[in-house]
Amino acid sequence: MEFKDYYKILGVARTASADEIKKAYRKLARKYHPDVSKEPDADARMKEVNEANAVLSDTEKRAAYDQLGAGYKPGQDFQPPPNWDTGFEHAGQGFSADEASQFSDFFAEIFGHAGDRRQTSRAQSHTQSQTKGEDHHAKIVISLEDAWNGATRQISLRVPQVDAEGHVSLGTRTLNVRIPQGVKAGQMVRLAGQGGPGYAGGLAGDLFLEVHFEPHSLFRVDGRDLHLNLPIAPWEAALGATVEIGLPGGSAVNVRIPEGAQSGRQLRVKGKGIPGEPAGDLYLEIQIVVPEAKTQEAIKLYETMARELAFDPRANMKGQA
Amino acid sequence: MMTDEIISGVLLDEKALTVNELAQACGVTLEWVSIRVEMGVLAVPAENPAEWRFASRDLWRARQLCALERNFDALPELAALVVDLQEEIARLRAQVG
Repeated sequence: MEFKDYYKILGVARTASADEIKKAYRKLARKYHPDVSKEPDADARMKEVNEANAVLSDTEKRAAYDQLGAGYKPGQDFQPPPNWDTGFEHAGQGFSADEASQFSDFFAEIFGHAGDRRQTSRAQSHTQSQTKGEDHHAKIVISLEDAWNGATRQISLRVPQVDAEGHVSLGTRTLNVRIPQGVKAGQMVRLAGQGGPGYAGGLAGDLFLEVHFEPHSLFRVDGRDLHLNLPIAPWEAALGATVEIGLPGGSAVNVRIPEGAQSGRQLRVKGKGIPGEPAGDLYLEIQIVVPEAKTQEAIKLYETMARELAFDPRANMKGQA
Repeated sequence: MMTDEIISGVLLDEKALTVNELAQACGVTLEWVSIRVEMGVLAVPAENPAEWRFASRDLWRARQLCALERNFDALPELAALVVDLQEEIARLRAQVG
């Protein structure tokens, strides 16, 4: 296991005051916020910054980390001595077990016992009364086809595990989860009893999965509605046509393109979006694609059109320039 | 750890959370939720807290509010404004594709 230099991650000196740590954290939290950051590894950096802040913003944890980490360099192989944390009390403040499961093995090894103690103290504070475990949260990324048909997906969650010697590391827990048909991006799926363990015989917490979609090469998804840019030939636009469109679920739909269709025009096919109650709609934005004049025959056809058709595509621009 | 068992979840938009369940899911107090409902940051259709129900969007908003208030010591009103803007960005990005 590699040693993590939390001071370096936050860009502060080892002598930094609590206020300096807070300022450094907020600056980096803004920099790596997923909605604004252009950094390619923003998500990983944000987790690292959160982890560093969880330790350095907590007086007890910072003291324990300082004692343990004296003399270590970032990336150096690290193993804490047995019972190194005797005399320190980590109350688990500032982060939840759910958040801690996002942190590194290094964090789990040092502070993983905090959760045990917290559970004990929490149970004691409730005078052994039954208390529900913490709810956990995770994201799941599915394909459009999964949402269309429903699917069973395997998800892996990181959970603290204690070995025979009492060391804590992050293990992996794998669940097979049924994704209901018609699920929308941003919806939450609640898995009862799959969160943190209960206290004093209380129920386990729940696991909430936030559903995200993988980007699709053809369709854009908005709720259960699908949007598709539909390329058509000039003669299909001018004369009208029926075109077959393959849908994500494997089926297809025939759509009538009205004669005189123009690029940018939107057609709505009701009920042909993602199935559900109600089903979404399919929106087609027409894009007229012009064949290249690569052969003599094609050139002749274009020249005939230019000569025979009284057509000026810029007629409405005249007199306005 | 792995089992062959297949777990079926419940969509929050079909069975929404009570105020107690939302508080538990966010690790906050009932008072924290009540204040944000009074502020209009979390929308509920009923006046009686026992009838309040919270779906996917509410849980997402509540968790974002918690994180902003905690990480930046943000005022609830300011955190609410940021969450509104985050939603607007997400909507516009989804339109762009």
